[in-house]
Amino acid sequence: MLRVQNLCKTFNTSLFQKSVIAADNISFDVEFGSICGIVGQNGAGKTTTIRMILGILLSDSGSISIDGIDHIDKTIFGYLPEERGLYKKSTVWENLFYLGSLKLKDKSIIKSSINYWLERFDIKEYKNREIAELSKGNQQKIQFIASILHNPKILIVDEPFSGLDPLNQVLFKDILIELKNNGLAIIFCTHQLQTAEEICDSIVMIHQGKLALYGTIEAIKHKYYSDSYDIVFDDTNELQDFIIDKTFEALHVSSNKVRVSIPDKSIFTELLQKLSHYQSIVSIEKFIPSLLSIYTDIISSKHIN
Amino acid sequence: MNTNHIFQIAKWEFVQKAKTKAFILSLVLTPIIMSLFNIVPMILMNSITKETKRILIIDQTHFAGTALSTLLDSNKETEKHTIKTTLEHISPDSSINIKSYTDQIIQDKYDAFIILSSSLLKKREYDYYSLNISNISDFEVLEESVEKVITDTLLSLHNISKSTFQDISSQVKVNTTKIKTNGDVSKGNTLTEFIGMYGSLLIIIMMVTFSGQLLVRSLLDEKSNRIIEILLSSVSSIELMYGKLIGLGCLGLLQGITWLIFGLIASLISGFQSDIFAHIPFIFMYAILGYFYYASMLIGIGSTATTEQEAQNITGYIMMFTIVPFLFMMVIMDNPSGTVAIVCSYIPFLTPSIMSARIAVQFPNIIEIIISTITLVLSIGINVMISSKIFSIGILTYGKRLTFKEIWTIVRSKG
Repeated sequence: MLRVQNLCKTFNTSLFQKSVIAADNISFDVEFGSICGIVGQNGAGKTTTIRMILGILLSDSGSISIDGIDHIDKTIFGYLPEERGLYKKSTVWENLFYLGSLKLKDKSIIKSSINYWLERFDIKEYKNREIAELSKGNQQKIQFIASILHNPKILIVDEPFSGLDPLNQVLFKDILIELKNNGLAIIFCTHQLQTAEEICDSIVMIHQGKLALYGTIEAIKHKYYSDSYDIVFDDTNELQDFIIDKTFEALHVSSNKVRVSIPDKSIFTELLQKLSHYQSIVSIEKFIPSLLSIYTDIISSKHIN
Repeated sequence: MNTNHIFQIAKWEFVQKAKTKAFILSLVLTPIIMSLFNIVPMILMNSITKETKRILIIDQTHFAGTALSTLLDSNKETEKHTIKTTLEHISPDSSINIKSYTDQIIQDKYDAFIILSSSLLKKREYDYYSLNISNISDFEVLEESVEKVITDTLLSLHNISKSTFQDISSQVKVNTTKIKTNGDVSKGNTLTEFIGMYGSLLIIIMMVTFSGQLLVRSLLDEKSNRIIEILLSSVSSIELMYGKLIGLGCLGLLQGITWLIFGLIASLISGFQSDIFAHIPFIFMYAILGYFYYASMLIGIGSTATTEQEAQNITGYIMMFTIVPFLFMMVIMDNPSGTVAIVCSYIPFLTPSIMSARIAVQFPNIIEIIISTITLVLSIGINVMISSKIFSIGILTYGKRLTFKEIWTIVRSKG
């Protein structure tokens, strides 16, 4: 398990300007065989956190350990940064072999691994082409291969699907899930909350350098809005009456639906009694929020503790 | 520190840059272009068909004009012209109508006219009029000829034979022999020493400049396409820095050796001999140390560059130091063991060039070589220490370049 504990990082942007706290007491765990999504706005501190995990930046305080060991060998990491970069004038093979040789000493393993992944991504015919000659999608595949060809234990991918066509997005997702099933701990940095919800087991939300939210998807959904119920009316006049009545505060209203907060069972009984006066109730169901709605609320500071 | 990482990075930098067309061309073309700069003017000079220059000699002396005309018509030709003269005697008392002669020049009757006034012997001067007065070789021939005419006239006036005069006035020739520190002697002259010194300085400056520019450009490329982050997720910033320094240093060395081979071939063909060839290992040692000195500075400061323009400015400022030794060339030529030469030998940014120049002129004391080498190595160590701090922050700085104050804060930091 990768354990990140109380990571702090402050940047002094200029001698006469204020310091910027990029990471303030960030803590989370990532189990092997799981995908952890790191989400947050631009400038929230995601990249700084990733750079500290990778050892690119030194933290001011806090620790990073793997299975309790603090001294981490960089070869266990694979990294696909958000900004794609390869040596444009060099061939696919040269790029992959060079980046592989920085992680592995055994040349035969590097070669067989490159061949395997080129085949897997169906781009073997491009291996002697210069990177500049490849499409953006294929360049992205090469960079993805560079991050996994040494069989890392921990894979950190930053917006891996951006710029990919839908078919390749599916291919990348499948491979990420396959790698997870093979026991890799994957950190998936993204703005695409729908995708994060789809493939991540846990979520770390960073806001203004602070850990705003952390937990499994299920736990988060239960924690936030676990006391909310959606009531669907057939008659919109009755819906309006219910809202105007104000016995129960309407958290959210749509054309024929109202969401109300029910913090405990006694109030739920009270609600049922109230609803018995209305003839056009279609359904009452517990509201399970999307990650996006939780994210939106947190960013607007409703739930930052 | 992982030496395999350093080796892999150095190998990548060397191989990728060495196989570029730009490098291969520079390797071969630079010495060829340098040679062409020397050879082409000579070829052009010799291949130009010599034109006849028509000179009117206006003689008031009634003795010098005929002699000068005969001398110029019979044996004299300049680098660019053969000379054909026309002689016109005028009375020593009559005034000369310059306007009428200049009109003849404008009408293209003559290319120039010379006035040998009656006071030629006394004043030892003559007047020359032409549309073009910039041809130095023509003047040399004319001056030589007029001087000979004056000398011959004076000799006959004083009853001195030409052979006696030649015996008296013939130039003394100096035969220079260089004594080496090991007691051996070799033939040589100031020109060969100058060429040797100039060549060694040039090799050092070109090696340092070329490799230094490649170093900063390579950093900027990796920064701008963000591959630097992938590299740093595999290696430490120090390993990356050393790998780059070593890889591009080897590239500079390959370049220096290639140019040296060209130089040796050229010297064999031209028969040029210089003691400098015996001291090449020392020249190369200083060239390599010089590269590491400047490159270790460039890699730190260069890592803060965010645009090509900034990178060029940084390289330009630092590279200006490499040409400073040219200011001391003449002083070193005059006295290679003098105070100026010795003091400059221990100033790190001057050491490589000054020591190479001194080696070319007069091999310094071995103690001086040892002390200057130790000083340079220690300076490289300090540069590396400072640069590694700047490098680790600079390579991750995008968009806005670090200010000098920020760089100073980084240098002073303990981490």
